[in-house]
Amino acid sequence: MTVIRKKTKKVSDKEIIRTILETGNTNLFGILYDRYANKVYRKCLSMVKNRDDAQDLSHDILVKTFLNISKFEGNSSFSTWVYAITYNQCIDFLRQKQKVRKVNYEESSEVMEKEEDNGVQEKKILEMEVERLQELLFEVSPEDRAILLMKYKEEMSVEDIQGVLSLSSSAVKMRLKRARDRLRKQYLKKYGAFKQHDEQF
Amino acid sequence: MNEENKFNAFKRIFEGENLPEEHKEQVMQQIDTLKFIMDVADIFTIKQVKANSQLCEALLNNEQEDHNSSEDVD
Repeated sequence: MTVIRKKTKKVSDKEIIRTILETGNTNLFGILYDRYANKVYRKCLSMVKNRDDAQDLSHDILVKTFLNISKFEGNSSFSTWVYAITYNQCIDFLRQKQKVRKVNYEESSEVMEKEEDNGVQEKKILEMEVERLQELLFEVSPEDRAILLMKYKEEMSVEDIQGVLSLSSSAVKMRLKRARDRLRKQYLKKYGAFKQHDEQF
Repeated sequence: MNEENKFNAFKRIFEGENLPEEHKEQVMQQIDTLKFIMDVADIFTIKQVKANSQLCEALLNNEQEDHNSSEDVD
């Protein structure tokens, strides 16, 4: 068993997918399950909070991944593709459950924040206490939550986020900035000031 | 905790949460069931149509050959 595990570790996702498509062997999907199921689950949990919902969603996402596996073109990595399914499925779930209205942001025209300011804001957010961050993430919209998680948890590039959300590069940057702003405002509303960088803030 | 995660709170959200053991079995079972349904549907749609057209073609060819051979005898 250990030998098999060691061997499958070396096989790339793309190679496994190719073999599944060629042979129709569903058991091979088990390898991809082992690689991604818990990651998918944690992403669902970050999005919906409730463990039962996150487990059900993970189930649906992994089955959906298998059913759509022939559509995976290999332009991005398999993990990015799976995370795209995950976030979109979670957002749909939350929209249905909470009847969350689709957030319509004005995409361009607004003056972009200086890169320097973005960096300071980012640092503050990343240095937040985990418990506080976890709480705050559930107080912003699912769309904001998803884009923040994609950027800072998955460390996805703007190009990859573009692919997931079907947006232009400037729209992604704008949404990220606004999501950060809302998270920051929520933090200040709730906790008064940032613990470490109060003066700068 | 690795160094990178130490400075990024996002990385530590729900860290250590895992799916229950039986989850994999449930997913794999559903995938097997769906694959079976797709295979059966494939047999009665695409493959059957293909088989029918091949059969018709073979019958027509046979008939044509019979016709040709009877003309040769005449």
